This record gives sequence, C-alpha cells and structure tokens, in this order.
Amino acid sequence: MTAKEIRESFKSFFESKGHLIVPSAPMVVKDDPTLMFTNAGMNQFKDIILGNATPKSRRQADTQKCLRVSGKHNDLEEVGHDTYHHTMFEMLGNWSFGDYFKKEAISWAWEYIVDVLKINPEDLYATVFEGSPEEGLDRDNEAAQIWEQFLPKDHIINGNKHDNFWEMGDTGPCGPCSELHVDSRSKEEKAKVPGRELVNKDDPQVIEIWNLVFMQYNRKADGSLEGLPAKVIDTGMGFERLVRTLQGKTSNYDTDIFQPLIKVMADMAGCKYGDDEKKDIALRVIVDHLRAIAFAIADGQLPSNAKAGYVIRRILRRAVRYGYTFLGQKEAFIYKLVPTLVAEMGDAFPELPAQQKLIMKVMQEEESSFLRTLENGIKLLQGVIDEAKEKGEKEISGEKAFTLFDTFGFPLDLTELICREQDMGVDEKSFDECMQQQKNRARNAAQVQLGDWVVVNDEGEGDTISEFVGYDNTEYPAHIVKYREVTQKKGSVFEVILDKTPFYGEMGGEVGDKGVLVSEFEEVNVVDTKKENGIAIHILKKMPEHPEAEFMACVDVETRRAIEANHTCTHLLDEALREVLGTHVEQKGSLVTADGLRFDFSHFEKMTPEQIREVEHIVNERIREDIPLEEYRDYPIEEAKKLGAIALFGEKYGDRVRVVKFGNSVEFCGGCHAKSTGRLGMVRITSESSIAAGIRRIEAITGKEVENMYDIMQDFMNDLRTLLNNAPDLMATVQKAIAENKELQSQVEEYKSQKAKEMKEMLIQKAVEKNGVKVISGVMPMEPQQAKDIAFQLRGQFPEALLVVIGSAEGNKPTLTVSLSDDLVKEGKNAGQMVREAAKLIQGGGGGQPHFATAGGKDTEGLKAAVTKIIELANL
Amino acid sequence: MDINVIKGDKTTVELSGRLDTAAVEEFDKELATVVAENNNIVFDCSELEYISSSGLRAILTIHKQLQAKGGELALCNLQPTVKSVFDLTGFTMMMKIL
Repeated sequence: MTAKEIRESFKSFFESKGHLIVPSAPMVVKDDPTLMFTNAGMNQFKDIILGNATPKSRRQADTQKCLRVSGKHNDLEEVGHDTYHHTMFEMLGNWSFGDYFKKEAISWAWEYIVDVLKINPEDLYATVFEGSPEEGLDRDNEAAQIWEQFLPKDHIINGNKHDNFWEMGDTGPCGPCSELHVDSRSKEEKAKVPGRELVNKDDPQVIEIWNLVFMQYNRKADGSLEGLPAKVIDTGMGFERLVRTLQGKTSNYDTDIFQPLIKVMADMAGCKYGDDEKKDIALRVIVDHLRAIAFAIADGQLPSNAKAGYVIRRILRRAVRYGYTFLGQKEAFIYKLVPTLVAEMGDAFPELPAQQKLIMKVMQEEESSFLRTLENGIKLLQGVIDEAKEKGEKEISGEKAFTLFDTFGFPLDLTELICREQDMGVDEKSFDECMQQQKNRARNAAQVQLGDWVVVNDEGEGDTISEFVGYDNTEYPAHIVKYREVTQKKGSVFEVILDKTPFYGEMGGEVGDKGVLVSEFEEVNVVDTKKENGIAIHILKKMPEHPEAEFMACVDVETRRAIEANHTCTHLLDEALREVLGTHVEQKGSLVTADGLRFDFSHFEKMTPEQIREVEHIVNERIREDIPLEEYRDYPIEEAKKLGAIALFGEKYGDRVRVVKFGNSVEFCGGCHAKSTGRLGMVRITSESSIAAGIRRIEAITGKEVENMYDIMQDFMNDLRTLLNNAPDLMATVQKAIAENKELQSQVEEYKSQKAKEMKEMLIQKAVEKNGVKVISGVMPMEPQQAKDIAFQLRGQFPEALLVVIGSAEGNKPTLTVSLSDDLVKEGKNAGQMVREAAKLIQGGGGGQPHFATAGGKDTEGLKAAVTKIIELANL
Repeated sequence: MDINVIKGDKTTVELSGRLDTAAVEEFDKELATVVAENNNIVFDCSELEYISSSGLRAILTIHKQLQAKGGELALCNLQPTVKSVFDLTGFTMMMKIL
C-alpha cells in the first residue's frame, strides 16, 4: 500500500465505525501560552477532555500534523542521524469522548491492523499497565482480557507506570494505556531472540506503532486519583513508522513518504542516497526539515527571531547547514523541493498547494539570508583562526566560538569543521560553559512562579465558568471563581477567573480589555485580560480584600470602543486590499489595540502610493456608508461558508462559529466590533512595509487618532505659514526660498574659492627656505576643509622639498594641517607624529599619514606656537 | 544588565553588563517608553561588556524607530570588544558613534 492509501484506509475504517473524520488542527498553536506546536493528536481536543467544551461528535478520528523539537527522542540535533525520528510527523488517532471504551478501542485497533492492513498477528505484542501499589492501582486486567481474545498470553506484556500510565499534566485526566508493538525482524533473528524480550528496548525493528490511552481517572491537586465521569479514549499511531512497517522497510526514509523528496534533492546535489553516510544524513535532515518548515509557513508561522518563529528558523538553518556542508549547496535550495512535497502531500493537506508560492518565497528569502550569514561568519572565523595560529595555539577559544555563534549567528558545528580542515580544534568545554551561563541568565530572567489556585466560589466551576458576555455588555455582575498569584522578576500579579465576564481576553490579535472590578467594599483595577484554554484570565496588581463579594465587572468603555473600531477596520482593509491588489491577499496576522492597528497580508510587491490611497478611499467610503454590523453567533460552519465567510489558514474552527459581516465583508471572527462602520470616523494608513518575503504590513489609525494626526498637521501648517509671513501660496513661497538659498549658496562657494586662492597666494608669498626646503606656514581664519584643499594644492604645485603648516580657526575651533612632499617623507619625516606632538599646544589631538595629517583642539590662542613647534619638529 | 535613563537635552541611557538574549526582553520593555518620549537618544556603553545578535537587533530597531521620526541614536564610550562587533556588523557606518 502507498502512504496515501494507508492514510485514507485509516480514515475510512473509523468512518465505518461511526467516527466523524475531522481535519488536522494547525501544527502551530495560537492563543495557548503553554504550547507552541501541536505535539500530539489530542491537543486539539484538550478543551473537550478538560470539560471546557462539548464535542461535536463523541467519536472522532483524524490524521494530525505534529511537530516535536525536544524530548527524549526528538532533540533537533539528533534528527536525521537515525532512520526513524522526525521533527514533523503525522499522528493517526481515534477518540471517544464518554462513548465507547477499552473493548471497542482494542478490538477495532486489532481489526484495522490485522484485517485491513494485513500485518501478521504473530508479529504483534501488546503491553498493559502492570499496576502501582503506591497509587492503589491494580493491573489493567480489563485491557489484558480483551487482548487475550486476539493474542496468546506470551504476547501480552506488563508495562510500568512510566511506559503504560498516561497523564496530561500534574493534575487532570489520566489513565492506563496499552501499546501495540510490531516485530519486523527476519525469521532468523526472531528465532534467536523472541520479540517479547525486545519490546520497549529501543530495538529499531521492534517498535511501538499504536498507543491506546484509556483516560478513566482525574488526578487531583493533592496527588490522589478519582474516577472520571466521562471516560475518554485517546489513541495515537505514528504514520511514518506504520508506513515503514507496511512497506517492509528498515528506515522511515526509505518509504514513499520521503523517497520522492530524497531523489529530487540527491539529483540536485549530484549524489545518490545510500552511497555515503554523511550525505545520507544530510539528505534525511533536509527532507525531514522541509516538511516541518513548509507546514509551519502554511499555518501562518513565518521564521522569525522569537518563540515559534525562532524554532522554525532554527530548523531551516539546520537544513541549510547540512546542505551547505555536506552537499555543497552554496545557494538557496530547499525551496526547490516544495513542488515535490506539494505533489506528494497536497491531496491530504490542501493548505500546501493553496500557499505554495508563499511557502517557496519565504523559504528562499530565509535561506539566502542565512547563507549570507554563513559567508560573513567564515570570514570572521578565519580571522580568529589566523590569530590563534600566530600565537602558536592549537585550538580557538570557546569564548570566541561562542561569540561567533551568539553574536554573528555562526553555528558551532561549522566552526569545528572549518577548524578541523586547518588542523585546529575548538575549546568545546569553555564553549559549553558560555552556553550554560547564557541559559542560566535566561532562566533567571524568565523565572515565573505560579501560586496554587485559590477557589473562592466553586458554584461557578463547570460549564458556566468564565462565560463571555462582552459582545453585548461592558458592565456585568460577576463573582470571582478562583485566583492565583504569579511572581516574576519584576514583581507579582494576580490572575483572576470570573463566573461571567464582559472582559475580552487577548486573542486573535485583539488586545485584552482593561477596566475595574467594583464591589460594595472596594474598587480594583484590571490591568489586562488574557485567554488560556478558552478561559478569560483577568490580571490584577492587587487582590480585592473581599474576593467573595459580588462585583460589577466594568470594562474601560472608551478604550474598548477604540479597539472595536480598529478591529472592524482590519476587516474593511482586508476586503479593500483584495479589491485593489487581488484575491491572492490573505491575512497573515494582525494586532488590534486602542491606539491603532497592524494588518499583515500576503502580497509580493510594495504597494504603490496610489494603491494605498485607493484602499484608504474604499474603506473611508464604507465608513461613510455607516454599514451596520450583522453578527451570526453560534452559527453552523457550513452555513457560514455559504455566506462567503473568509477563513484563515492555520486557524482552528469549531463546527459552530461566529461570523461578522459588514456589507460584503464577511469573516469568521471572535473579536469585538463597532456596531456600525460609521463609528470608525475615518481611517488613515500610516505606513506600509515588508516584514518577510511575500508578506506586507499596513499600520493604520482610526477615529480620534486620525483627528489627533490632523490637528498636528494643521498646527504644523499654521506654524509654517506664520514663519513665512502668512504667505498665501505656501508651496510657491517655499520653492522660491529654496531657489534663493541655492543661488546664495553658490555665491558663497564662489566667494570661498576666491578667498582660498587669495590665502594660498598669501601663504606662498610668505614662504621661507630652510636648508633647501620651502616652508609655507601661517595662521588664518578658514574652514578645516579649505586648509586641507590648500595643503594638497601646494603639494601638487611644489612636489619636492616642501613643508606646509597651516593653523586655521573656525570660530573658536582651532585646526592644524600639515603636509610634506614625498622626498621629505622618504627621509623619515612624519606629518602624523609632528601634528600629534604640536596638538598639545592647542589642547587637542590628531594624527594622520606621514605625508598629510591634521589635528583639532580647543585653544585657538596656541595656534601660532603650534605652527612654530611643527616647523621646529621638522628639523630642517 | 542594568539600564539607567538620564533625561536631558539628549536623553542618555547608561547600559551596563551584557545585552544578550536573556537581557533583551527587559531592554525592549524599558526602552519602549524612552523611545516613545524622545527623538534623540545617546547610549552610554562604557559599562557594556557584551552584545549578542539579539542585542544588535534591539539597537537596530531603536535606530530605525528614531530615524523614522526624524531623530537620531548615538552611541558613546564603546569598549573595544563591543566596538569591534559594531565595526564588523557595519553598525558604526549606520549609527553615530561619539
């Protein structure tokens, strides 16, 4: 079976068992501060498992794109060196939320593996949880008995808590799990060592393919376990290793998931996979990383210098390094593999073909930029190596290697490689020390201590917790459900959860609300509102003294209205940009605050001033039309699509959504909006720039901010007019002033040049001869540049036996200018040395070359003495 | 790292310690208000021992922000190691070094 067939067979098998097949959630996680990337199939169901959301179906299945760059087997630096670990991978999974449990989960797993995929049952082993006396948990006999219907007892193996008990975190849902392992070794090998002895022993041919998690407990904060009312089945099967097993390969990279990509890359590099281990590693690194980068960009995550964007940048740079070092790729190359990737995976993941152009553009730009960094780094490193060699050292210091890495972005492995080529080493120990110190500093700076949640009012727990009522209200009666203290380096704040709240928690680019909580006892400020796991967290600097009281939660209305106007403006801009630039425009990010907005979108060239103005005019026209907000809350997604609502790539939508419509602008959106477009007042685009290859950024302001801007412009114009004696035609007056100024400047230049000529003549007339050397000297008021010009003209006029010393002053700034003819320089005289010594007499310093030097100072009184001193020092 | 802001004709910011990944978040936060309120800023780097690429990026951003509003960023008293980083990266050509 091909990879594509296997993926489809999984979906259709579980569809036949009554499962709803859902699309993969984006690989890049948005709005969850605890997670940057989806690292398991269950991530997208976290809210359902925690009881914060209701599932659209109690049986669901999917293939989920995941990314792991840390952990036991997923250290980024290790990927590619073996044949079965990846950064990005697919996880096939099926779920039951309070529906079927162990019996069906195990039976269907067996049916799919043995009956559909035709894996030999004799090669299969299952593990079950052996129990934990300290937790008061028995062996999972229920699972074992079900497995016994399919497997002989010696193929069912007990597993410990580490391998066979799954927990979501320190608290929350957990339960035993059962893994299905497959032994893909040859007959001979199986005869020598039975498969059961190799299960969970890191044998690359005896591997776990499916993990079935039976969530039946809830871990409480005191560590004890209680039964979970709605039990959950959560399974995960690594797609790449499943394909490897089914296609009878020993390496994931030998399957048809990777081989087409490897072949194209190997052809580009003029090599063959399998001929040279180092090149093979490079090929594996590149094709693995290509997938991670392409899917991340398709999900809207561009390489950048922070958080998820930095992880993507590191992955891309690692692939470039391997290509550069082992495959001789000196120019951007990874992006050329994207068409092959799209051909292989585009059917299952339509976001890839839809954004192919953008993915390629971003990758090419990012690769080229890193290759430039590499070239600069190589030059710097050569300097460091030469210096070490001169000192007779055999290695370069770890500190130098660290600076190359930390300041110039030059990776250590390349430093080592280049050093090795020149018989030099790198002091890795001190490099590691520098790195460790850096990490410690970062850890200390970012240290956050989370206090325990203090429950104030548990009536609000459950379905009604933190219900958002802020679309219709800016004030609402509320109770504090729970709070906790968060301590950081800069002090501590309190996170407060209310039962109902009009406060919008920061999400989807819109900043959180500010305001106050008022009770009969007191008033406390809410300085910000964030959103975590779908719950609004109110940030307070001070806790109320009576947290149990009833509060009126009041949003700062003026700020909220400005935020709403700016959010609505992003929708109108999105629509206008598509009208002016074309339908390829896709929103790639936004920031909506009370002061203004930022809107990032895909477009491949700079917008012209005319296009910017046209967009502004369209939006302002829609504002003047005062189009009312049409809002569809809790609306079926299929209906929303029929309305023509724009969905964003990389966003996860539920089956019921909110749609925000202003005339023809229809978008899926959870944010706060103006009641009609007229509330925006007016829009002004304040800047248009590029933030990455193929991505433009518009910044704009609305309402009062536009008014403020026009006030400033008006004041400026008035001041300018006053300055120009209330001239009726400002433009003509300024143009006239510029022309006059130009004319005057040219007259001044002419005068100066005439003056310089006269001064030069005066100096020549005063010249004296000393032992056959013409000494031209004097102190005169002139600019340093004039003195320099005269000195050079004189050198040209008298090419031999000449010393020129000019003391000039411009205001109270003295300058010494010295020049010597070449024959005197040959004799060993040095203008630089002379001027340095004489500069002391004008309380200054200077220097230059042997034939020409200058010095500046503070004391014009000393100029004469300094000129005399230089003539003395010339020792003619 | 320590950041000390001295207000005057030209606001001076004294930087000391290491401007690296660990320090850059705090640096960005502290300087955001200074940049918003001033057009001309001088960084006194006499106590600045080390600068990483994150630090360079932060300084470049401030340089661009000030330039966009017609102001200027100047650096003074650079220690030799920091100066050499500024030379190699071309920052000394872009910014005013006093």
